[in-house]
Amino acid sequence: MKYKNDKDLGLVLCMHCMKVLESKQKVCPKCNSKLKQRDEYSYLKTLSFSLVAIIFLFPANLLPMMEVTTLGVVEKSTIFDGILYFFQTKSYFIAIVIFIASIAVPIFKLAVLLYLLYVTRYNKISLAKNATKYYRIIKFIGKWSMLDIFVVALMIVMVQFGNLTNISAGLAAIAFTVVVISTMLATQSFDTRLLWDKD
Amino acid sequence: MIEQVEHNSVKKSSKFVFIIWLLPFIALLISSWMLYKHFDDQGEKISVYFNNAESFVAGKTPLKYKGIKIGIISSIEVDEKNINRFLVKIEVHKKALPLVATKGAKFWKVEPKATITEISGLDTILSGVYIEAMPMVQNIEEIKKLKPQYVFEAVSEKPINYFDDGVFLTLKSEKGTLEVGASVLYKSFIVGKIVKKNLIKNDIFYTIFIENDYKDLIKEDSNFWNISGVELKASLSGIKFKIDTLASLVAGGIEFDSDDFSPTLKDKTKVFNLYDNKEEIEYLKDYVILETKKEHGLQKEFSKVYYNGIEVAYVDDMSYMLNDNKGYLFIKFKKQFASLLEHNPYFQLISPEISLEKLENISSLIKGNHIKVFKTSSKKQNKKEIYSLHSLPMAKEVYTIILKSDEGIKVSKNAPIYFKDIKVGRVKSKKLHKNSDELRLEVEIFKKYQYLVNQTTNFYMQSPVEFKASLENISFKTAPLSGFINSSIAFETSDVKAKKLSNRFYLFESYDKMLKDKYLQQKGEKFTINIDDASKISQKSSVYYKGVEAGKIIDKKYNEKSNSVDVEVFIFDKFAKHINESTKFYSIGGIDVDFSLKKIDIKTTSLNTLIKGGVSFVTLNEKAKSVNRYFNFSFYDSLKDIYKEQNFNNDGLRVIVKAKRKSSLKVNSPVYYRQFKIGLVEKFELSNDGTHVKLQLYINKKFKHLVRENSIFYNATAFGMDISLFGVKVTTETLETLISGGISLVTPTKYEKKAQNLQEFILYDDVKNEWLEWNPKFEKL
Repeated sequence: MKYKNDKDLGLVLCMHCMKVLESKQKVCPKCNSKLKQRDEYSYLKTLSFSLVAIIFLFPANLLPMMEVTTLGVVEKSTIFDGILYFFQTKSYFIAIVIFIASIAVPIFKLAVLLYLLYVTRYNKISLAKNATKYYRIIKFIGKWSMLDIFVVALMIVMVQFGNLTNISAGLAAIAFTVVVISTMLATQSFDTRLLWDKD
Repeated sequence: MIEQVEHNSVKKSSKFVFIIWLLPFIALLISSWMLYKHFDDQGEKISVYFNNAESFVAGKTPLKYKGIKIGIISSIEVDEKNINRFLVKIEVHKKALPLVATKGAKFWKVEPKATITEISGLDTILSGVYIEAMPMVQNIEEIKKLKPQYVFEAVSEKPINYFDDGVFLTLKSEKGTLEVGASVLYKSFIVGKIVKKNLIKNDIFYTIFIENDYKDLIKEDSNFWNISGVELKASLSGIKFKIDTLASLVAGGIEFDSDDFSPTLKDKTKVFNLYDNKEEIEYLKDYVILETKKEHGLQKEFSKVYYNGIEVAYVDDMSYMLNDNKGYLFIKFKKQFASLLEHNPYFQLISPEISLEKLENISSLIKGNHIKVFKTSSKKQNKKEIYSLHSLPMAKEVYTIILKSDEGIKVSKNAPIYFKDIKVGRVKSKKLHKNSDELRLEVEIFKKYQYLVNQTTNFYMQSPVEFKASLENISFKTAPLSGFINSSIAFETSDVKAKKLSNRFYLFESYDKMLKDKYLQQKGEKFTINIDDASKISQKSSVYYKGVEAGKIIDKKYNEKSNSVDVEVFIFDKFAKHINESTKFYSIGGIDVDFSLKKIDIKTTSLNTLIKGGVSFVTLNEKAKSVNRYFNFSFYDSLKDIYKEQNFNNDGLRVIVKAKRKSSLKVNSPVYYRQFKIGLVEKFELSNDGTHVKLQLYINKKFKHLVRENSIFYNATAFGMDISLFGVKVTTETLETLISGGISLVTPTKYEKKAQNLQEFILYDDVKNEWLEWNPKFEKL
């Protein structure tokens, strides 16, 4: 695959206003933002945030997400318990939605991130175009990953009936939030231009 | 060149790189801590076997200790060996583990429970059932000493020592009316409750819990009794209404009391007896059994046993053996009267009869059928297992006599015998004498009254009311009220000290008959009077002598031979001696009117005889010959007749006057001399030839010398009327003779010798004036 990248052409892209400038320019004359041909910490940050996300993925799934207290009896449920519950009660749609939003999406995102890191690390330029496509997907769905947290937050706020029924967030909610934020940060940190570097 | 234009941004700061690499490590730490903490809290599993795992949900049903959740059921499995047992695995919080996973810890299921005495586990209605756990001991130090244990057998209900410390006591009862949870009261203050109720070998055992603060109230001799909520006692003397605590109203309760001075209970395993009610404490625990073959009509729990009118026991239960035809009564005897049983008690069934006798004591009507108990010996004797219930009064020592009667006697068996209205005996049997129609009553006289019966005793039937009205008094004689319904027999004894000769007596059918007989039993004699017409004389009329009752007319009989009535009279001894040949009986009935021109003399005897009539007698000559009872006395209508008869005795002079007409003369018409009565007309008759009337005059002895052979009799009834120029002169003897008639006698001055007896004279109708001038002077003779 033959192409010329910005380095070849001595150009630099303003990531803010998307103006292409000459590489000697340090500051974007248009939007006055700093210009960088590559983000030198991009790979590192993405890797680091991905690792954090992976680490928190375990407590997020193993620990209880929600603690429902009904008349003093506490019922803790993990994400998977919730899915099973909806699946058992034949609310397949909700079960699928929760499964996608809470389990499938984070794992998919992390998988894509790892793939991007792999492509970058080993200069698999042939995969660059494909990787860029995945990057766009995870960047798009990134904002939907907080669905689970929204559900929990909403439940906590709405179901506060004192001793009768009370819902509080479990540790998994925090862990899950960390996972979502980490993946978003990882996605954000990734500099797609690295995919196209030939060396 | 390109390399030369290497963008300065490619340069890396090692410090920043370090910070970035730090993030995953921090994340790892936090995440690891979270996981550790979570799984650390999971705790350990213990296994509890339940017989009933209903409503248990794995992962949901909690284990609680006094309301605090210390674990959760993690799994429920059916026991491999017994399908009715369930192995419940419980995840116990780590911290709570030493509390429950110790030897002797108890696990039980808490479910909603609503009984009369308590409503518990309400919280489980919504939250679902849970398991509660409790270690064997309550003290932390002691818990620590216990060995750990991980497999348990669940108990079926809340352990009784779930509460604070206290005393557990066992009460034995025959009735299981009390509910678990019912209060235990001391002076109506709740000091504990019933925690358990078991049925062991036909007895109910209650376990009661007494709070620690009150455990000293239980003494060695404490009495426990069942308090039913409402106690209603009604008797004639009042109504007692008592309600204990409201809870006990429904579920009952136990109350106890103790003697303050008794020692405090030491042996906590002692089994107390639970009495059915407070009253029962006073009763002996064991029954006194009475055996009866008769229908008794007693009522369970209501029929009482009395000793001298004091309630000493009651009939608690009864049974009937069909095979033996015997009934058994189970009597609860009061402790304080238990000694009665040692004195050979005699039990008698008392059935209130609706009889007037019982009206004296109205309460006995209310008592209903009851039992009386008597001591029969004063010495102590062994108690018997079974006593018999008698329906007859205790056989008193009696003296049996036989009463004979010819009449039908309306007396029943057991009819009472009264003496002065006191019951002194009863009729034992009534039967006809063999081979005769004589009715014989066997009568028992209680020994202590035996002295009352002797030869002077008269038995008679008591009729309800004897009404006796006489002019002297009106008297009612009534038997005791009961006699109104049940005829009774009474007797009178005139002389208690008299000898007892035989035990056979005659029973009079009425008091009257007895009296009559009694009358005759007085010393006296009987005489017979011959009367043509006995209509004036009634039986029972009294016979008077000088106005004093001297006897009675007993009987009057028609005598065929003489065509008259023989009246039998009874005269008391002291009067009988006055009776001899010269005795005359006369009627004193009615009014004796002596009517003359001078006066009207109305003479009556006592009012009594005025109506009833009566008989009196006079004895003219005390020295006359005495008579026996068959001497026929004649009877006079009045005393006058007697005297009249007496007038015409042989001492006087009898002359006959012949009159042309009888005119107004009659028997008893007077004969006058100088208007002085000297005699009477004794009788008159028509002369044989019918030419005149012959009047026989009787001249008193004293005056017979006045009648001379030349004496003249004239009819004094006539009055002369002399009509002359100077007027009318009416002459008559006396006004009396004008009406009643009479005869006057004149004797000439020159009188002749005395008239002969039955000499005949002529009765002149008119008086001649010259006769009136005659004035003979008689020499005293």
